[in-house]
Amino acid sequence: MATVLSGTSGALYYKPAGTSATFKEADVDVSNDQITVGTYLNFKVGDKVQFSVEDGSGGTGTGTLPGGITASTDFFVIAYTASTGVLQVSATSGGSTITITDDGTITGSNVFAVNFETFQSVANVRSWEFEVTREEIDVTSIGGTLGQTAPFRTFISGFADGTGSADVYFTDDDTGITARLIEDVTQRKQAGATFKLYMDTVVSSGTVDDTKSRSIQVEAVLTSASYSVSPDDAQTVSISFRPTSAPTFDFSKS
Amino acid sequence: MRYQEVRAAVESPIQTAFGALSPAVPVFFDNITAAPANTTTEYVKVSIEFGLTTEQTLEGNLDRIRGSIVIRVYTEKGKGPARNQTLINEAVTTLLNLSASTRAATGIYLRSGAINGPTLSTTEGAPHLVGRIDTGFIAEDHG
Repeated sequence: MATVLSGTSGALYYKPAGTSATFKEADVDVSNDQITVGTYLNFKVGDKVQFSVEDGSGGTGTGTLPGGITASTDFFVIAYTASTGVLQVSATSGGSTITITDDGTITGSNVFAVNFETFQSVANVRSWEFEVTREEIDVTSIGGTLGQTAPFRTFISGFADGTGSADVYFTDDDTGITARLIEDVTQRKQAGATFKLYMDTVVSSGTVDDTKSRSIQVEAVLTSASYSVSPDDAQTVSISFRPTSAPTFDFSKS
Repeated sequence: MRYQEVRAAVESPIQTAFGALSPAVPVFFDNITAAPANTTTEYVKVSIEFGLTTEQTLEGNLDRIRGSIVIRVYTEKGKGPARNQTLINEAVTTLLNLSASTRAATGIYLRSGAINGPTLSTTEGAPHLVGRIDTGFIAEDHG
């Protein structure tokens, strides 16, 4: 017999806003082991990132990453200056700057990309909601054969859209991803903000097993944060977000 | 969850307030035998009950302690309410001070809620007039 899931099987994982950027060969400073990835992003010291080569539309591109940087390998932000956009990474958390030996090779519309790597659990989430809607297009035609009953209108569905929200407890711990989620509403550059909304979170060996879990993954922009403070209630912040592309629905347990 | 420290945050100022009166009025707390019911000695009894002590999240629980405080003041029966209300006022003042407290970076931060009462009652055969106030409280444990 199937078991109805309760809310406690759910979870909300998040990649922060402003943690996705592209750069080109000229942005690689070999002499100082620095990369200029763009100003006023939101990389924080300790963020785990990975580098890749993308084509102009975000797909897999062709090229060679700068020397010292390997694709599909974790690197850790050790410095990012928002006003200049200069990024430095290390190979280990808290380690020293990697040595960049050359500025890599890309051609045409290909770019180097750096992205926040791993979804992080937002532990203080009380609940989340996500709604997908479709436009309704009225295609009713007139002139049909009259009968006993009134003719019904005819609709077809149009573009899809969505909205989401999450209620988050405001705690005295501002070191986790929760505080970052709340603050990201005012982050100007939202690229990288991605939610993974789990309905069914299955954990194996201490980490979420995505092959057995079921979730909705959605790149989003954060659209509002509503703060609620009263003497009788726990402090909460209600975050709203909206997809920037089609969500990925993974409702399969295999 | 430091229930004992939360309890102390309530009990200690009440103990201090009534201990500073002249003469001092004894205060009894939960699971401590109160003054014998057949005497006319004044005393105060404080009861603390914990209610919800966590907030549930999708991933587990966060600390947020709520509960209630009941303070009963026992004064001599048949002498009018004045003395009882004087002592009740001492308890109310202590609770108001708790409610006006500010949070330090660490430790227990406790605020009492709206105060209900006082209600005065007597029981046939018992030697005391009993004044009662009660209030809720919210406590945060900041380690």
